[in-house]
Amino acid sequence: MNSKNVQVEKHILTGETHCNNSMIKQQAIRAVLILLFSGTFNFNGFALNQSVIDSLRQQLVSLKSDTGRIKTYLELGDVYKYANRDSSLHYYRKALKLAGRLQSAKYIALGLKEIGRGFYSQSDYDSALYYFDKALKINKQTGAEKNIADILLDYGNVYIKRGIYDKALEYELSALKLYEKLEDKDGYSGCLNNIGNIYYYQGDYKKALEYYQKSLKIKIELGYKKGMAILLGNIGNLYNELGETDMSLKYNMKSVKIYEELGDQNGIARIYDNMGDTYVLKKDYPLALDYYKKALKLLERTGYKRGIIITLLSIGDVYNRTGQYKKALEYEFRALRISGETGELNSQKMAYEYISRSYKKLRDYKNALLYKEKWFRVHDSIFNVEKANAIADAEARFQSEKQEQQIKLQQADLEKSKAELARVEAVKKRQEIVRDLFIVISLLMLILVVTVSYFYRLKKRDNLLLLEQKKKIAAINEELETKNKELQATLDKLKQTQQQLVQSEKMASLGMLSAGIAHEINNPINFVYAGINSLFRDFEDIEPVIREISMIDPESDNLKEKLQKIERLKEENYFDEAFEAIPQIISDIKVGADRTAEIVKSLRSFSRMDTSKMQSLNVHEGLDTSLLLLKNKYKRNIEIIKNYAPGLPEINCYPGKINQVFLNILSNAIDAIEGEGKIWITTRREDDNVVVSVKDNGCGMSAETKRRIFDPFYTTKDVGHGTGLGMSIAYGIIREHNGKINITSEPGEGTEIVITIPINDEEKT
Amino acid sequence: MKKKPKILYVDDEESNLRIFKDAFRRDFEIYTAISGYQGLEILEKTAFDVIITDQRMPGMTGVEFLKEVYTRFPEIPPDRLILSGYAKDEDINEAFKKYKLSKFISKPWEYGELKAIIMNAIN
Repeated sequence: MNSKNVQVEKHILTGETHCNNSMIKQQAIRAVLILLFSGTFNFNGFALNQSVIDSLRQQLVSLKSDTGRIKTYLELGDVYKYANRDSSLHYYRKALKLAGRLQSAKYIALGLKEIGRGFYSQSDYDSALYYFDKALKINKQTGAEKNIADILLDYGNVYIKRGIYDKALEYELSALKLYEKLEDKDGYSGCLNNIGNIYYYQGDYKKALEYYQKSLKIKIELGYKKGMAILLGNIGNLYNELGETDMSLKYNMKSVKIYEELGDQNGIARIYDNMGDTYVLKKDYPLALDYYKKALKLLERTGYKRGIIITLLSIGDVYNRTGQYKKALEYEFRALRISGETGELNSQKMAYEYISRSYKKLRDYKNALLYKEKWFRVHDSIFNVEKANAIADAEARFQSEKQEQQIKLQQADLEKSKAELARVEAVKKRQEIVRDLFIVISLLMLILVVTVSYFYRLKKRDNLLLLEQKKKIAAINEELETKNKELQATLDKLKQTQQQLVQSEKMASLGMLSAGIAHEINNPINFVYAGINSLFRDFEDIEPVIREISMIDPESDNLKEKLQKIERLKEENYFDEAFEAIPQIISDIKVGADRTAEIVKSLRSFSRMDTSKMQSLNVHEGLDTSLLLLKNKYKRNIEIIKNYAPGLPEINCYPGKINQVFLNILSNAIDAIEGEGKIWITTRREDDNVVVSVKDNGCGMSAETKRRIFDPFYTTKDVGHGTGLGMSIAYGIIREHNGKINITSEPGEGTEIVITIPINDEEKT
Repeated sequence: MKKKPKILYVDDEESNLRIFKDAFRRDFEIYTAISGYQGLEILEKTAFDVIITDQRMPGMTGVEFLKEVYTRFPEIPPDRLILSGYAKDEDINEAFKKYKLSKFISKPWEYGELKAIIMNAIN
């Protein structure tokens, strides 16, 4: 049981649109079935068979009997019923006209009923009801109970279509009672079938099956093969709904066998279509396609357009499920074309929906939307057409009622003039007419109420659809939001990576810096370090001499002897050399200490690299510090020519960052020089800016390098010798200071980089 | 008096030359040169026991100087050449491999240590 339910659920869950369509589709097919049942016309008639039409037309000419001609007209109406609404109605109306002329209540009622059924089959239920009402009235007058029961059945069908199942059931049950009374087993079983249909539509498949089975039993008893085939098909379809595909196939096989015996092409097609549905359920799409295509072939032969449309859409559906959306579209457009030919809006609507769905699957949202819009337009126009039909029918009704009234009034007058008794009867009759009129008007009111409530329901359904679409949009919005969040996360990650890269470039600058410091400090520290050692040893050398001298006692000592000893000591200890060296060493130590202090002092601005505060910077000092750090890189082979503008104002900036720029640009200039070369550093003031130009006579840049110099990771250096970020970061820093960097360079001629930085003096601005 | 070993010291910093000379004048006979070129000139006239050179000098680096020495005076026995200062590993390795460099010391040097190295080279 459980697995069954699951399967049914699955079927419903395969997409709301599909579910809706399959309902529409099933209703469409059942519209044929139910008519077949309750109708009395020739079953083979609905294949548009030219030879049948020809022979019927022949009959019209040759037949003398009017009733025969009426019958022929009705048959012709039947023939065209599903292929051509206008032709069908044309023949029914001819039959009705002829019947009216003959004043044959039986045929008038029959004609009215058939016209009603014609409208019914075209889904024009208001018109159908109008004619059924007329037919019912006449039948009630004549007391033709069998006909009354038939029409009650028709009413039931209309209400089934409108989804007013309680009312439909009411009509079906009263028809059932009548048939029972008349012992009309055929009608009775037809009623059972319709009741089965009502339960089917309400989703009560168990009850539906019960009624179908009862109906089938009677048909078998009666030996009505057509009825059997229909019911077997209905049961087969029902088992599809229950997900019991094997049972479905069993019944459908039985049904198709009978249809084949009867040679009923449309019937066979209908069962093939059912079987196609079964195989779709079984997910055996190739087989499903096989059956649908067989059905299509048959229907094309009979020209039953509505059936063709439904089958084409079924095929489209299979292609859609198997991912062949273009093929699906091919069939769906065929369906659309044919639905255009029939002018039948409901199937057009269906085709639009399927096409929109296929485009959506193809991710062609533009067309998907286009056809969805068309769907809405048709949807709206159906609404309008129905409304217009209702109004036109109401008017026609009013007109014909008036005419009828007049005719009856004339008849009454005639009677009145004939005899007193007849006059009383005529009065009676007039009263009857008034009563009938009253009935008709109340019926009209009823129809109006039903129509209004129907439209109200339609509107409500539209609102629900809108709500659903709103929900979908909300879902899309939500999706977009999550996408946004993902993008934001990626962006954050990128930013983090960028920061890391900037940091690593900073570290690279720091590496260059520490290498520079190491070497620059090396020598002066060596003066101090080695110098102190020498000083110490020199002092050791002169110490004995000084001690000797200081110990001289001029009173007692032999001065000559002492002096000789001192002279000897001096010689032994290299006194003169040491004595000479000491002041030199002290001065060297001082030079070393001074230079070390100078370097440390000038490095202070670099030690503030991360400072985020604006400070004033002497550009010349910044340049000199950078040069100092790079000294070991250039001192061998490069002459630096400084052309500093005197009195250049200090700039208010982030000193660490600007120094980083200087270091980078000077370092690049040094790297550009292979052998001997020169670097010119020029500064000047231009308006409120300081301009620094660094020009080298090195290798210059290619056009490619010039173009890409500020690109992150672009480097002409070997792997491991540059991050390729130096210039890109320099660019960023200058931009941050609202400055500019310009480059002029020719390969082989050298490069000039000109930086313009605003002085940015806070007091001035 | 025992004859002192002769040492040639090459450095582009005059202070360094002075300090070196002053530190070792008691132990060795010191010759100094302000550049590699001057060092080569001195080498033309005088034979030395040990040659010490700074690496980073304008014009001719220590390694380049050693290369010149190696090509011009192939008779100089091995283990007599010392490099000081701050140099890239590749350059030092090249000097070790090709130009008979025997020791590399980094600045600032320490008297006792450097003396030991020099003595070691001579013996």
